[in-house]
Amino acid sequence: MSLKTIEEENSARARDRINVLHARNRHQWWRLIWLLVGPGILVMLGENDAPSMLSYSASGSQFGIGFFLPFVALTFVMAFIAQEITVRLGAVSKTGHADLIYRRFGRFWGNFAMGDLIFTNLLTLVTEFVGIVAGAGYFGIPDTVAVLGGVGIVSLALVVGRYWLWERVTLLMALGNLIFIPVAILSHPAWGQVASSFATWHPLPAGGFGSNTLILLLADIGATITPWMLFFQQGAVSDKGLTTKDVTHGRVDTAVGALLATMAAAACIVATAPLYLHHMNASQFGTAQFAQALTPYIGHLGSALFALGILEAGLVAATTISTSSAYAFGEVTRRAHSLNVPAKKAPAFYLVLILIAMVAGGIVLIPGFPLEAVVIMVNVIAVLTMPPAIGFLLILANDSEIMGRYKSTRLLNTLGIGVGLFVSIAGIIYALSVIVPGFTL
Amino acid sequence: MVRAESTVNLSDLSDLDAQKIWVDEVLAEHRASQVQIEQLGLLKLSTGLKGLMWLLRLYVIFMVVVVIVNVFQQTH
Repeated sequence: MSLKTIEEENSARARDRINVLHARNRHQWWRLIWLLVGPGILVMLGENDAPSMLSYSASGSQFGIGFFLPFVALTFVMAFIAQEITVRLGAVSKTGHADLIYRRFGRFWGNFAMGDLIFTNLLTLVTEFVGIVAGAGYFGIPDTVAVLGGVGIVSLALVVGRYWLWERVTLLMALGNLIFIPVAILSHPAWGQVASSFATWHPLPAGGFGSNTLILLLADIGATITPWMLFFQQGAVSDKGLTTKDVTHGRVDTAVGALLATMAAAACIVATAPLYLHHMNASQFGTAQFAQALTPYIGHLGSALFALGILEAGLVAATTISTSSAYAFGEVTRRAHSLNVPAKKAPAFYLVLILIAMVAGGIVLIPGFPLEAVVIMVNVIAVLTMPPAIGFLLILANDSEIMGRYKSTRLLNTLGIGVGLFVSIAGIIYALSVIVPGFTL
Repeated sequence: MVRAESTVNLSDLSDLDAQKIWVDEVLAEHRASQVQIEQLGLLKLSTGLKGLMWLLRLYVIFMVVVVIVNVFQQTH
């Protein structure tokens, strides 16, 4: 990385920091929040991606309003616990997650972590483009045009030239995830039952926790906790230039993101519950079929909004996941990796960002590729690769040389280990359900 | 950092690229962190921690096999 490139990156970041300092000195708290939020909301709404919304749709349509609503809320609490650590890591170290893993654990372990990230990112990106194609297909947009449009949106990073502007544009898109709330309202749910399910976790899934229910449970966990989120948020916090003074705002940002994402996820479950009430077998539904099947219950407007939500979810996640891949690549290869650096100064960073999106989009266009199988399993695979990622995260969060007084407290460690155990045990239960015929909880 | 908070003037924002010294002041904490990170060496992992990391790695490899078996079961 040349000195001139570093200066250019720092110069852009300094402008953002001066705005923050002025807001802080003048006690403009709302402006301060506006300036400092971003990575947390983006990562949480970004994780409400196309396969996640499909997973929530499957939960709502197969089990209705009940156990899965509070369960999804719980998974977002766990996501907050994991992502809060990345806020501290990014604000204290001012560098990305991959960089820290390579520096502290060496190339051997770093390569494993990167292997997990690249594998899950590429698979997840494929499913984002499945969502983009399915959502666009509802409006009669051809697959090729939809894929090109998706790659075009990801490529916006090339022209904005500033992290701040990129973050604001992507945030605006990400708020589109809340489109599932009016869709839920259009389904005229029994709001008393919705409130009751959050309080009692009932009714439990009909038929108990068999293999298919466990896959859905795992998919819902994978819809909120995945490796790319760790790499993305730490990279974004570092690129945004947050400092140790901003940790509290970073936590607020992440909590608000978790809350918004929970609302959108719960809305998706509520919106698809009519399919359960009308005994429609939605177990084999693809993304597009949900929108069409819901038409009799939420009308054409509701269906169109649902399809738009899937399209938007795919577009936002394609953007954030591509960016997380590019951050990790730049950190590992020690090349310029900032959205504050123009494309001509960081060609490798932007090339990876766009290339991975193009490859994923291209795979979706291959005739006969088993897209639905990938969509169903991608969240499951994401969960299964989480335990080592949480292991690295917790070790780094307790690394006194990096974190100093910001290292995790006993309470935060207990919560973090709890998330790691939960994810690991969920994976073991899933494995048992696959290996042992007839296994149920 | 404190000095930067008191000396920076909004009206001079447009000249920031030329004001390298301001950039240095505003990003003082960033530069200190960069220096600290550059000096980091490998973390000394205890035997227990290494064992845990290998266990988690084997967990992922095992689970990938399980997923392949599961996909095979579902498609046949």
